[in-house]
Amino acid sequence: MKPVKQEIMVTINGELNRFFIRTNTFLLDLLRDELGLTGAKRGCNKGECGSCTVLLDGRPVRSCLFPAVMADGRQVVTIEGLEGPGGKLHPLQEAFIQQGAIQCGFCTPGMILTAKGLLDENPNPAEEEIRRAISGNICRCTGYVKIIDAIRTVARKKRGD
Amino acid sequence: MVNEADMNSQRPEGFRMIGQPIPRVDARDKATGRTRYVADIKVQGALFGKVLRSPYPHARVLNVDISRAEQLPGVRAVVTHADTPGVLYGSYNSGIKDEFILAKNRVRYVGDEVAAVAAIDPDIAMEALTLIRVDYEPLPGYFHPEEAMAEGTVPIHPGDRNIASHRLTVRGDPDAGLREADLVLEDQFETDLQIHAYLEPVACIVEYDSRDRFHLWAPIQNPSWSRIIFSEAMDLPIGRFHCVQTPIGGAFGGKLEQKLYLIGFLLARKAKRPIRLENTREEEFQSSMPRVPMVIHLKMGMSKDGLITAKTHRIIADNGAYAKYAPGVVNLGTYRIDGLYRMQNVRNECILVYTNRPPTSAFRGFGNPQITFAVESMIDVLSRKLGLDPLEVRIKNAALPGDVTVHGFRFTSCGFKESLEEVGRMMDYQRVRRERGPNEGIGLSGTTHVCGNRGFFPLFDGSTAIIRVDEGGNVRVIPGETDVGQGLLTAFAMIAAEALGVALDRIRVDEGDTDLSAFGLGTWGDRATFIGGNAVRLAALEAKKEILRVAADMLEANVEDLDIHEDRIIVKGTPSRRLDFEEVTARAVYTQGGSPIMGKGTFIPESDGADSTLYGNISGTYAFGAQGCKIRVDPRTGEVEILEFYAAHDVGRAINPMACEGQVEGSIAQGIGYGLLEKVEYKDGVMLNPGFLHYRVPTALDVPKMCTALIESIDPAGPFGAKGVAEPSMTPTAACIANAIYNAVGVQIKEIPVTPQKVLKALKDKR
Repeated sequence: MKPVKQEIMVTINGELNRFFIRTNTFLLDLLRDELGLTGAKRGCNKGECGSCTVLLDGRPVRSCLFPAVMADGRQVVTIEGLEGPGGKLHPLQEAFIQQGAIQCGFCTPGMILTAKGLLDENPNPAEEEIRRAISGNICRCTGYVKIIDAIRTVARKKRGD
Repeated sequence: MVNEADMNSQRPEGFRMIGQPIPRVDARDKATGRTRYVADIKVQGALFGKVLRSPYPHARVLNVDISRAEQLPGVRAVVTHADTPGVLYGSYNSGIKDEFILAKNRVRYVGDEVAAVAAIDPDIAMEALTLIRVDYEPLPGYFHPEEAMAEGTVPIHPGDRNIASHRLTVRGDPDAGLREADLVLEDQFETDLQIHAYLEPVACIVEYDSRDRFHLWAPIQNPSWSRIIFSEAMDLPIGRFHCVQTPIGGAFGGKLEQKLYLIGFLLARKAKRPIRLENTREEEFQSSMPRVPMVIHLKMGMSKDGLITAKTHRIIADNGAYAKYAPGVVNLGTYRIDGLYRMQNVRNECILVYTNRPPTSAFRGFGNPQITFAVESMIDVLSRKLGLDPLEVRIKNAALPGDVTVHGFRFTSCGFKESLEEVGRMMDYQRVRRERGPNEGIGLSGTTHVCGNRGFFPLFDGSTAIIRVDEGGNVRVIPGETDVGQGLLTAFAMIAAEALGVALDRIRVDEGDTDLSAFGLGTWGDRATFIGGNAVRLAALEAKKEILRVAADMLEANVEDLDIHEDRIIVKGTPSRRLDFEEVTARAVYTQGGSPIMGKGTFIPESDGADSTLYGNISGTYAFGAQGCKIRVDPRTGEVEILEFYAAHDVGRAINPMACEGQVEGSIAQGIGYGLLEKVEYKDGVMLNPGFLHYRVPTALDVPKMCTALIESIDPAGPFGAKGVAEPSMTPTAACIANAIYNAVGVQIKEIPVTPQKVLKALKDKR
């Protein structure tokens, strides 16, 4: 069967893009292959490891399983979009760096974006809620201890404690 | 102007940087998505490669017909055994040469490589695989060493009873030792495959240039060493291979040289185009080189006051289809523990058997987690039956600094006793042992490990680092070891900065490149910080000497009176006479024909290798540690919940305590996976759960709170006293959990992973 092509408009990291893509394209392929936004990783291509996580209208999605055409008219944020003007990092990025929550780094972009999705929705999560929120993001290096600590630090700062 | 106050702000023991929890030098790139793993690199004109793998665990290959695949539009090359040099090769460690790059007339496990294609896009490459016709004649498959060793089996490789390696080592008088014991126990322990499950699948880019040279970009732990294997397998001189290490997204022993890279060479040469190859996650599970499973028959004797009088073990290990590093794992990895408890009488027998499962190989701990699970479980059982406290028994038998072990290891520093005591203190051991909730239990275990292993690489041990300082004062470190995600770039940058007396942001540590670096043995065997760190330190000191020589001319001072402190060259005692670092580096370069300042440091550890019986001091030093945990068992479901984990590890000196803790925490999580969760399901040689959904790598919901203490024994030979930590911290975890389960519900589980079913069955049998 010949793949059908379709035009979509997607805002990625604040910039509007127009694509003419095959309808069987996944969001991860669009980001990595069309735009060179390789921060989202292909760890399993089955939605099981979380390393391809990006934010779609603020909510974490597995971009490896998400059809790109369904992003039409919506907002996508990747790890590349988290850095503010003048290179100012997002507090989660800063906390992950400062608190040793990064080792090999392959899970890091997906992990940070999942954490952002959580904190944007629930600025005051209990530890158990943090663990649950990131339980779909596998990290094989850190044992999660410093990742959880980093997310807690940002949550505390957000609350202003 | 350097004032007294600045001088006094130096850290304890005079270090500015060593011992500080400094964020990783590569963390910012990783946190912002800038790090380019190999799959993130785009190469113009690259073709997509795919590998055709055997669907049979054991079969004859009668014919491979690639004609239809070759005719598919978009296919640029198809390779089979006919495109290989047709020579057998091996891991350059065991001496066993038992594999071809692509199957000749036999496949030996599900996933064995038969052919490969390169096409202009991945879909065409996948389609081309379906057009390759292979005629197989299935042979009986053997999935357990006992089956494969039986009389009358079809040999998987030429040889007797499918035995890949067999070794017996006896020290002292084990029979007399057992006779002296007040209690002798004998039991069987079993461990299974464990998949590395690093997050970054193995991938590579290969180019074949017009001068017949192969260029490889890949996440490879051992770039220089790999060239020897590539050379052997491709039957070409070593110089024809150039390996560039890309950032490694987790390795754990699983990213030593890969067959995928050899297949890349074949495709690139045939297609005359760059090739990109990437394993799928399913290929990673089904066809990578997992941890060696072992059946361990263990016998130990103990006197009634708790001294271990003898230990004998007979290990039957599953080598899988090809002897990669499994011979090293069983023979070099399973006798280390004999030094942990001052044993004098041991008999170790290791039988490694070919089966039709994936080739097993190196994985964090390298055989040590397997034997440690058995021995550390047994020590608990013996202590219990003699009415002794397991912590006290361990302390009583613990190795001490200055020991020469029964196998000839020399413990120049040893913080094992302190590690045990610290774990006991952190977990409030005596109190928690008495006062614990229903079905709750605590467990302990200990570990020792090498920091490098002279027996592992036959040609030499050691490391050489090169440091180059340019006119702008930028310091480039070219090491021989690789950052596999553990933070070596940072450790080496800190060591270089400390030794040179300059700021961390001047330093850049390179990833491996065999055209630039010295022959580096790479990262394995917990060697990188201890051996490579020393080389970096020596290289930095040599560069510093050169800088001070130039500065002495400029300041009209004696070299001996100069030092580098916080990016300035100072005259000791006369702080007003100083030069900026860049002034000196620029002068050096501009007055010496443009020559950069170079430092080269070589470190060869004081190990002397082992004799034919494996007796000898195989490592320049040894790491130690102890762990303890608190768990709860649900007797209705058999589920084990880990409540708390405690670890104390003798790291010599923590170059970067935050990174050391990170290694310990990550190890404990992998150990929890190994001990409790990670179970491969096989049917007729096919892995039934080749994905993260059904092979349960620990998630954030599976790991407990952890408490880590770093014991600093300050090793006399370590760089600033440092030793390794990444492997020993994984080793004791499974035993620790098993011992806690007994403490909770009175059953000692002897097979890992400890699934709820095993706990339930043991509870039922107990009743």
